[in-house]
Amino acid sequence: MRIRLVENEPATTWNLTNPREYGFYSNVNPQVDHPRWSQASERRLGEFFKRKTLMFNGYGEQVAGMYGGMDLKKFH
Amino acid sequence: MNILLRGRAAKPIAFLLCLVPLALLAARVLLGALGANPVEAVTHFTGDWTLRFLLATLAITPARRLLEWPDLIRFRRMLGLWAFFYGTLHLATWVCLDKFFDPADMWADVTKRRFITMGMAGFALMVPLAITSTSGWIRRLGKRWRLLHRLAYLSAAAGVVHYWWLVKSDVRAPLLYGVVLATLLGARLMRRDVRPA
Repeated sequence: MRIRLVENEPATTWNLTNPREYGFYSNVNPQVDHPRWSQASERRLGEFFKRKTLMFNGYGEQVAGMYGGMDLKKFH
Repeated sequence: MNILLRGRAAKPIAFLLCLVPLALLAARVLLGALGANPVEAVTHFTGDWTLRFLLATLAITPARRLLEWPDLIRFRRMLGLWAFFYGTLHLATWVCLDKFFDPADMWADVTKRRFITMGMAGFALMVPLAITSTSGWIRRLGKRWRLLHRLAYLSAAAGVVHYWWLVKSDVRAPLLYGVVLATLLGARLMRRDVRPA
């Protein structure tokens, strides 16, 4: 086994079979729709009613910095 | 066999058989056996059975000829109405459990996502067919009834495309439905070709 650090995102089954749907940074931005559904609300496990999905899944304080400088409409 | 189809018990038995998927679904709901995403499981289950009943309805005409069981016709309306029943459950699952009756959310889904648009079209096409399925309407519409009920072909096609567009990348299941539909519709064309002039 070996580990290589590569310049570009490697091709995987996901992004090969459906490049339209798999942005690497998907689902941190509830204001952007997934091609087949809205990400604006979610049903948590064990709950019946949906609630509004929070930006960065509610971890904005901790992780927003990691997305600094990125266009979260494009790299949703 | 055709004699059996003519029997008095045939229709009630067929009716009960058509209830089996609903009973299975109810059992899964009551047992909590719907898995991690119950709403999705109900949606997929009812959607699958809508398509199956639509295809079964469209299979009646070719099957009557192929098997020489003309009395199969007695079951066509029932199968079609069960397709409408399961389609209604499918739509109701989306309206009540997925969208929680939110008109804005529903409208956004219908206009933004082509697979929802197509599913909605497939359902809408079934509505006039269900309404005009009664003997009174068949009589009143006369020849136009047959023409109108060809919408069933379009509805089934919309159902298959709806399924095709919603899967991520594994199109095997919608492909299977599509092949069955194409075969059933193709059987009708073949029939027309061999008819003597």
